[in-house]
Amino acid sequence: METTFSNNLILLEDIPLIETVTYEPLERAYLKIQKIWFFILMPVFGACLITSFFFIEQIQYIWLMIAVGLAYVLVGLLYWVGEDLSFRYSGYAIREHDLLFKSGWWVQQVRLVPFNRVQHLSIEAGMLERRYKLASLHIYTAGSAEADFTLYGVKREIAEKVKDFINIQIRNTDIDHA
Amino acid sequence: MHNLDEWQVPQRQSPASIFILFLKTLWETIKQFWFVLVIYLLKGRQAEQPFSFQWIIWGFIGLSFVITILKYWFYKFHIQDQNLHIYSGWWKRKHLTIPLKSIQAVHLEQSIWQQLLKVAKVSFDSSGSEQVEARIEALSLKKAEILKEILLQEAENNTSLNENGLPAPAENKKYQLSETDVLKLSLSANHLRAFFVLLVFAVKFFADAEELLDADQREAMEEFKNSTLNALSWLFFAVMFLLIGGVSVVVSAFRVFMEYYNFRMEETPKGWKVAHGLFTQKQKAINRSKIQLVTYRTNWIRNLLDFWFVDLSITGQDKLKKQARINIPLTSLESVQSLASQYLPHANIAKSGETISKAYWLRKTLTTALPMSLVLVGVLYLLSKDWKTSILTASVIGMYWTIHLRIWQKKFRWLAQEDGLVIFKGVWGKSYTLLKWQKIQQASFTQNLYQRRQGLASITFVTAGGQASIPYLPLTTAQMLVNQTFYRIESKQETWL
Repeated sequence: METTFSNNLILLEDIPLIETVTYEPLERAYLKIQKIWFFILMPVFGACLITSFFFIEQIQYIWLMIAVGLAYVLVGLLYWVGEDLSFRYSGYAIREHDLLFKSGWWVQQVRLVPFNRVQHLSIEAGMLERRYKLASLHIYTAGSAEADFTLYGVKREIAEKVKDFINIQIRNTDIDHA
Repeated sequence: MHNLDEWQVPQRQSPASIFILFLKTLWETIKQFWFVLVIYLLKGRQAEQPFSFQWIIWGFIGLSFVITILKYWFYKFHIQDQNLHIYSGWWKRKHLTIPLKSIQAVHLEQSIWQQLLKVAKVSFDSSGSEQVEARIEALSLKKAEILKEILLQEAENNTSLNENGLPAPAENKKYQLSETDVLKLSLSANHLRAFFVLLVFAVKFFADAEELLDADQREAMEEFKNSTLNALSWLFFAVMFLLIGGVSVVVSAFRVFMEYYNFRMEETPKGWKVAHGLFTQKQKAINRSKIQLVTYRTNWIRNLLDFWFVDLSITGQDKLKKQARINIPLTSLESVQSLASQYLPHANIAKSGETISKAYWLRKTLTTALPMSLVLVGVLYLLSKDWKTSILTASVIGMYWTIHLRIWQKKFRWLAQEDGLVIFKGVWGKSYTLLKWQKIQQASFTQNLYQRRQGLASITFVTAGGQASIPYLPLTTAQMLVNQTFYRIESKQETWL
């Protein structure tokens, strides 16, 4: 088969830059769901600690109880503040050929997945997410465990739209290169 | 040719799947709550229980049945717009979309129950399908076969894409390790692991042996320890050290010798055939297009002998082959480069690449070496009850760690080339990682608080066989690298498998 060699000049301005991307924020309701989980899990965790101190004689020291209590409050505070900060930083951006998702506050991470590597897509919504009309879009690329890419905290219809858009992009890419 | 229309309507699995799903759910429920059953059975013998064991069993059956019905009812699938759609879940609703073009194989399986009920389980092979449980538990055999044909027809239409684009080798090269080579390879292996395993084993053996002694023998032993051993302590420990060291070299060399005895590698049109082993003969076929990442490494002794190991990270279509790593020993850097050139043809491994920031070792020293040394002081003190020795030992280890980090950072090199990335790292030994741009599945760009202040970032490229990372790059360089890499992989439709 004959192949045509081309060596066209690529202007640096033509290369899409991640530093200029504007990210869409996550839905406020997502933060609300995280806070609801906080109010469900923290008392359960606290009850487990109290029960342990009540029944296990070997750990019934005042100093240990104070230390664990302080650690419990500290972890709770950090989680609360961390969720707020993380929410403020998190966001997603959809470009013509890829999707970007940024998250984290202490360690900030931007993950990029090109559409031409997507294998499957799935939309998931738990009970609380359904209550607030939210969903998460799971994007599966090949192989390793790290290759699972999740876009969470978006409205159900947005997740559906993004999924359809990616599907169309995958198909168009195939047609363009056929 | 089958009619696609009837598959475009969302449909449930065969009603027979209720039975199959029930058995599966019951088994899963028992697996989840087996400890409750065991406790109930054990306690039931000692005391009166509020519920009889029979009620517990009925509870399990009832719960499994309800879950089964919900699973059956909410599970639907159909084919639309060149995608296979699977809906599942009651508590957590899930809508999975698999592009038909990404399906590489379709399997029909029949267990004894499925044979009796004349249904089949349909599962799909596509990269990443292990993660998403894409399967239909029970479809009537006829329907399952039609679905298989439809899906395979689509897969066949896309097979032309599954070529790597690399030219097939002109001649079938053969490569073999001589017995002397295998012996050199065995003796130059990293024996430290075997040494530590044997050391732990020896300490445990002496501790256990002491417990078996009676009071008189124990007293005699204590006397021996206090008098003779104390006087000759350095000699005793030196002899023990040499003895364990010698045995560990023999054990680990023998293990490597058995593994790589009669090593042969032959080039085939699709890749390589590899066979090796003394008692257990191993044979592997490596498909060139499935190699995702190549690493070649040597330790400091092997470096002197010009002995290298090439690690091929490959991906496959089933769980067993998934992310397998094949290690190939080669006797010169030249043979290594000849092999690696079939993955990345013009890999430049000269040490002229870019460096990473000095902040890497400073930060790592503060966040790993220093805290771990402090923990080590505490642990050593608990064992020896001697502050001086504990602090001295932990300081030496901490110091070594710091120097190790500094050398690692200083030697680290990366080079972005036209068709891929080359990463060099090593302290005592050498390691080169080759990554072809087209194999990248996704990338991540990370900055912790410190990196943000210093204007640095770390990047990781993920492939289907493993990942390659470059830490602590100047922010602008990291952004430029990600931008150019993504431009490269998105503007060209090069296949990765």
